[in-house]
Amino acid sequence: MGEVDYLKKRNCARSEDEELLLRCVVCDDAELLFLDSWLRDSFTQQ
Amino acid sequence: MINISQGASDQKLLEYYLAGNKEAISQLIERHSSRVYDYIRMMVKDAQVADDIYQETFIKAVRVIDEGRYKENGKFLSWVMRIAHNQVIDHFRAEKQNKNITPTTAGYDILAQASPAEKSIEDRLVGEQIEADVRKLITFLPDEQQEVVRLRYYDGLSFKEIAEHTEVSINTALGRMRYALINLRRMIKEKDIALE
Repeated sequence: MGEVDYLKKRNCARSEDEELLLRCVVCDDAELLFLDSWLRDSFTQQ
Repeated sequence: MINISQGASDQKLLEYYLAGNKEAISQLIERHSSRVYDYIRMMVKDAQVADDIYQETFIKAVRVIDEGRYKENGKFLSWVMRIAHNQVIDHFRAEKQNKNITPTTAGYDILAQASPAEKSIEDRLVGEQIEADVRKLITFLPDEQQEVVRLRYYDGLSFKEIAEHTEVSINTALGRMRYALINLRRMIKEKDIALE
Protein backbone atom coordinates (compact mmCIF):
# COMPACT_ATOMS: atom_id res chain seq x y z
CA MET A 1 0.00 0.00 0.00
CA GLY A 2 1.44 3.42 -0.91
CA GLU A 3 2.27 5.81 1.89
CA VAL A 4 -0.34 8.43 0.87
CA ASP A 5 -3.01 5.74 0.56
CA TYR A 6 -2.15 4.55 4.04
CA LEU A 7 -2.57 8.04 5.40
CA LYS A 8 -5.87 8.49 3.58
CA LYS A 9 -7.20 5.28 5.01
CA ARG A 10 -6.29 6.47 8.47
CA ASN A 11 -8.50 9.56 7.86
CA CYS A 12 -5.68 11.63 9.19
CA ALA A 13 -7.04 14.80 7.65
CA ARG A 14 -9.93 14.73 10.12
CA SER A 15 -7.80 14.80 13.18
CA GLU A 16 -7.15 18.08 14.89
CA ASP A 17 -4.90 16.61 17.50
CA GLU A 18 -1.21 17.12 16.79
CA GLU A 19 -0.18 13.89 18.50
CA LEU A 20 -2.73 11.91 16.47
CA LEU A 21 -1.38 13.46 13.29
CA LEU A 22 2.11 12.53 14.37
CA ARG A 23 0.98 8.94 14.82
CA CYS A 24 -0.17 9.05 11.21
CA VAL A 25 3.28 10.23 10.16
CA VAL A 26 5.28 7.62 12.05
CA CYS A 27 2.83 4.74 11.42
CA ASP A 28 3.90 2.68 14.45
CA ASP A 29 7.59 3.18 13.71
CA ALA A 30 9.08 3.93 17.13
CA GLU A 31 12.39 4.98 15.64
CA LEU A 32 10.71 7.73 13.59
CA LEU A 33 8.89 8.86 16.72
CA PHE A 34 12.19 9.14 18.55
CA LEU A 35 13.75 11.00 15.64
CA ASP A 36 10.89 13.50 15.59
CA SER A 37 11.28 14.04 19.34
CA TRP A 38 15.03 14.52 19.05
CA LEU A 39 14.64 16.99 16.19
CA ARG A 40 12.09 18.99 18.16
CA ASP A 41 14.23 19.00 21.28
CA SER A 42 17.33 20.02 19.32
CA PHE A 43 15.99 22.66 16.97
CA THR A 44 12.63 24.00 18.15
CA GLN A 45 12.73 26.96 20.52
CA GLN A 46 10.22 26.49 23.38
CA MET B 1 3.84 28.97 45.53
CA ILE B 2 4.79 29.90 41.98
CA ASN B 3 1.83 30.13 39.61
CA ILE B 4 2.80 27.96 36.68
CA SER B 5 1.82 29.10 33.20
CA GLN B 6 0.60 26.39 30.83
CA GLY B 7 3.07 27.65 28.26
CA ALA B 8 6.12 27.26 30.51
CA SER B 9 9.03 25.51 28.82
CA ASP B 10 10.25 22.10 29.99
CA GLN B 11 13.28 23.80 31.54
CA LYS B 12 11.08 26.24 33.45
CA LEU B 13 8.85 23.46 34.76
CA LEU B 14 11.91 21.60 35.98
CA GLU B 15 13.16 24.73 37.70
CA TYR B 16 9.80 25.18 39.41
CA TYR B 17 9.81 21.55 40.50
CA LEU B 18 13.31 21.77 41.92
CA ALA B 19 12.21 24.95 43.73
CA GLY B 20 9.52 22.89 45.49
CA ASN B 21 6.50 23.05 43.19
CA LYS B 22 5.18 19.50 42.87
CA GLU B 23 2.54 20.55 40.34
CA ALA B 24 5.30 21.43 37.91
CA ILE B 25 6.56 17.86 37.54
CA SER B 26 2.97 16.65 37.04
CA GLN B 27 2.53 19.14 34.25
CA LEU B 28 5.82 18.16 32.69
CA ILE B 29 4.99 14.47 32.74
CA GLU B 30 1.48 15.12 31.43
CA ARG B 31 2.89 17.18 28.57
CA HIS B 32 4.99 14.26 27.30
CA SER B 33 3.05 11.25 28.53
CA SER B 34 1.28 10.53 25.26
CA ARG B 35 4.47 10.62 23.22
CA VAL B 36 6.44 8.46 25.66
CA TYR B 37 3.63 5.96 25.99
CA ASP B 38 3.24 5.72 22.20
CA TYR B 39 6.97 5.12 21.85
CA ILE B 40 6.92 2.28 24.35
CA ARG B 41 3.75 0.79 22.90
CA MET B 42 5.19 0.83 19.38
CA MET B 43 8.18 -1.14 20.59
CA VAL B 44 6.55 -3.70 22.85
CA LYS B 45 3.20 -4.03 21.03
CA ASP B 46 1.48 -5.03 24.30
CA ALA B 47 -0.65 -2.51 26.23
CA GLN B 48 -0.15 -4.08 29.65
CA VAL B 49 3.61 -4.29 29.24
CA ALA B 50 3.63 -0.74 27.88
CA ASP B 51 1.74 0.49 30.96
CA ASP B 52 4.29 -1.10 33.28
CA ILE B 53 7.30 0.22 31.39
CA TYR B 54 5.69 3.65 31.17
CA GLN B 55 5.38 3.78 34.96
CA GLU B 56 8.95 2.57 35.44
CA THR B 57 10.23 5.16 32.99
CA PHE B 58 8.82 8.15 34.78
CA ILE B 59 9.63 6.78 38.21
CA LYS B 60 13.24 6.49 37.11
CA ALA B 61 13.23 9.92 35.47
CA VAL B 62 11.89 11.63 38.58
CA ARG B 63 14.38 9.77 40.76
CA VAL B 64 17.30 10.98 38.65
CA ILE B 65 15.97 14.54 38.85
CA ASP B 66 15.44 14.32 42.62
CA GLU B 67 18.96 13.03 43.10
CA GLY B 68 20.35 16.00 41.20
CA ARG B 69 21.80 13.87 38.43
CA TYR B 70 19.77 15.34 35.58
CA LYS B 71 21.85 17.81 33.59
CA GLU B 72 19.68 20.30 31.75
CA ASN B 73 20.47 20.55 28.04
CA GLY B 74 17.06 21.45 26.70
CA LYS B 75 16.28 17.89 25.64
CA PHE B 76 14.03 16.60 28.39
CA LEU B 77 11.75 14.63 26.05
CA SER B 78 14.63 12.89 24.25
CA TRP B 79 16.14 12.07 27.64
CA VAL B 80 12.94 10.49 28.91
CA MET B 81 12.47 8.56 25.68
CA ARG B 82 15.98 7.21 26.01
CA ILE B 83 15.12 6.00 29.51
CA ALA B 84 12.00 4.41 28.06
CA HIS B 85 14.07 2.79 25.32
CA ASN B 86 16.49 1.32 27.86
CA GLN B 87 13.60 0.05 29.97
CA VAL B 88 12.17 -1.70 26.90
CA ILE B 89 15.52 -3.29 26.11
CA ASP B 90 15.78 -4.50 29.71
CA HIS B 91 12.31 -5.97 29.37
CA PHE B 92 13.25 -7.87 26.22
CA ARG B 93 16.44 -9.14 27.83
CA ALA B 94 14.36 -10.44 30.73
CA GLU B 95 12.00 -12.05 28.25
CA LYS B 96 14.76 -13.63 26.19
CA GLN B 97 13.23 -17.06 26.49
CA ASN B 98 10.26 -15.70 24.55
CA LYS B 99 10.62 -16.82 20.92
CA ASN B 100 8.33 -14.00 19.82
CA ILE B 101 10.83 -11.22 20.27
CA THR B 102 10.27 -9.00 17.24
CA PRO B 103 12.85 -7.44 14.93
CA THR B 104 11.94 -4.06 16.42
CA THR B 105 14.07 -4.88 19.45
CA ALA B 106 17.14 -4.48 17.32
CA GLY B 107 18.31 -1.85 14.91
CA TYR B 108 17.70 1.26 16.99
CA ASP B 109 21.04 2.50 15.82
CA ILE B 110 20.15 6.15 15.96
CA LEU B 111 19.93 6.12 19.74
CA ALA B 112 23.18 6.74 21.55
CA GLN B 113 24.37 4.02 23.91
CA ALA B 114 25.65 6.40 26.58
CA SER B 115 23.89 6.78 29.91
CA PRO B 116 21.23 9.50 29.72
CA ALA B 117 21.98 11.01 33.12
CA GLU B 118 25.15 13.03 33.43
CA LYS B 119 26.83 15.05 30.71
CA SER B 120 30.38 16.32 30.63
CA ILE B 121 31.61 19.33 28.69
CA GLU B 122 32.98 16.92 26.11
CA ASP B 123 29.53 15.33 25.80
CA ARG B 124 28.05 18.77 25.23
CA LEU B 125 30.53 19.51 22.47
CA VAL B 126 29.87 16.16 20.85
CA GLY B 127 26.16 16.88 21.09
CA GLU B 128 26.62 20.22 19.34
CA GLN B 129 28.58 18.53 16.57
CA ILE B 130 25.84 15.95 16.10
CA GLU B 131 23.25 18.70 15.81
CA ALA B 132 25.40 20.46 13.22
CA ASP B 133 25.77 17.18 11.29
CA VAL B 134 22.02 16.59 11.26
CA ARG B 135 21.38 20.18 10.12
CA LYS B 136 23.69 19.46 7.20
CA LEU B 137 21.81 16.25 6.36
CA ILE B 138 18.53 18.16 6.30
CA THR B 139 19.93 20.25 3.43
CA PHE B 140 20.28 17.06 1.36
CA LEU B 141 16.55 16.35 1.50
CA PRO B 142 14.38 17.07 -1.54
CA ASP B 143 13.05 20.64 -1.45
CA GLU B 144 9.50 19.79 -0.42
CA GLN B 145 10.66 17.56 2.42
CA GLN B 146 13.24 20.09 3.52
CA GLU B 147 10.53 22.73 3.68
CA VAL B 148 8.27 20.74 6.03
CA VAL B 149 11.26 19.86 8.20
CA ARG B 150 12.23 23.51 8.51
CA LEU B 151 8.67 24.60 9.25
CA ARG B 152 8.15 21.93 11.90
CA TYR B 153 11.48 21.84 13.69
CA TYR B 154 13.00 25.27 13.11
CA ASP B 155 9.79 27.31 13.12
CA GLY B 156 7.71 25.09 15.42
CA LEU B 157 4.61 25.01 13.22
CA SER B 158 1.86 22.44 13.72
CA PHE B 159 1.03 20.02 10.90
CA LYS B 160 -2.11 22.00 10.12
CA GLU B 161 -0.11 25.23 9.93
CA ILE B 162 2.45 23.56 7.68
CA ALA B 163 -0.29 22.41 5.31
CA GLU B 164 -1.75 25.93 5.19
CA HIS B 165 1.65 27.57 4.76
CA THR B 166 2.68 25.27 1.90
CA GLU B 167 -0.81 25.31 0.39
CA VAL B 168 -1.24 21.56 0.26
CA SER B 169 -3.68 19.17 1.87
CA ILE B 170 -2.96 17.95 5.38
CA ASN B 171 -2.43 14.44 3.99
CA THR B 172 0.18 15.71 1.54
CA ALA B 173 1.95 17.58 4.33
CA LEU B 174 1.93 14.47 6.52
CA GLY B 175 3.22 12.36 3.64
CA ARG B 176 6.11 14.74 3.01
CA MET B 177 6.91 14.72 6.72
CA ARG B 178 6.98 10.96 6.75
CA TYR B 179 9.28 10.69 3.75
CA ALA B 180 11.51 13.39 5.28
CA LEU B 181 11.90 11.42 8.51
CA ILE B 182 12.51 8.17 6.65
CA ASN B 183 15.18 9.80 4.50
CA LEU B 184 16.79 11.52 7.48
CA ARG B 185 16.93 8.25 9.37
CA ARG B 186 18.58 6.56 6.42
CA MET B 187 21.20 9.29 6.12
CA ILE B 188 21.85 9.32 9.87
CA LYS B 189 22.50 5.59 9.80
CA GLU B 190 24.65 5.83 6.67
CA LYS B 191 26.81 8.44 8.42
CA ASP B 192 26.88 6.39 11.61
CA ILE B 193 25.56 9.27 13.68
CA ALA B 194 24.27 8.34 17.15
CA LEU B 195 21.80 10.95 18.38
CA GLU B 196 22.75 12.42 21.75
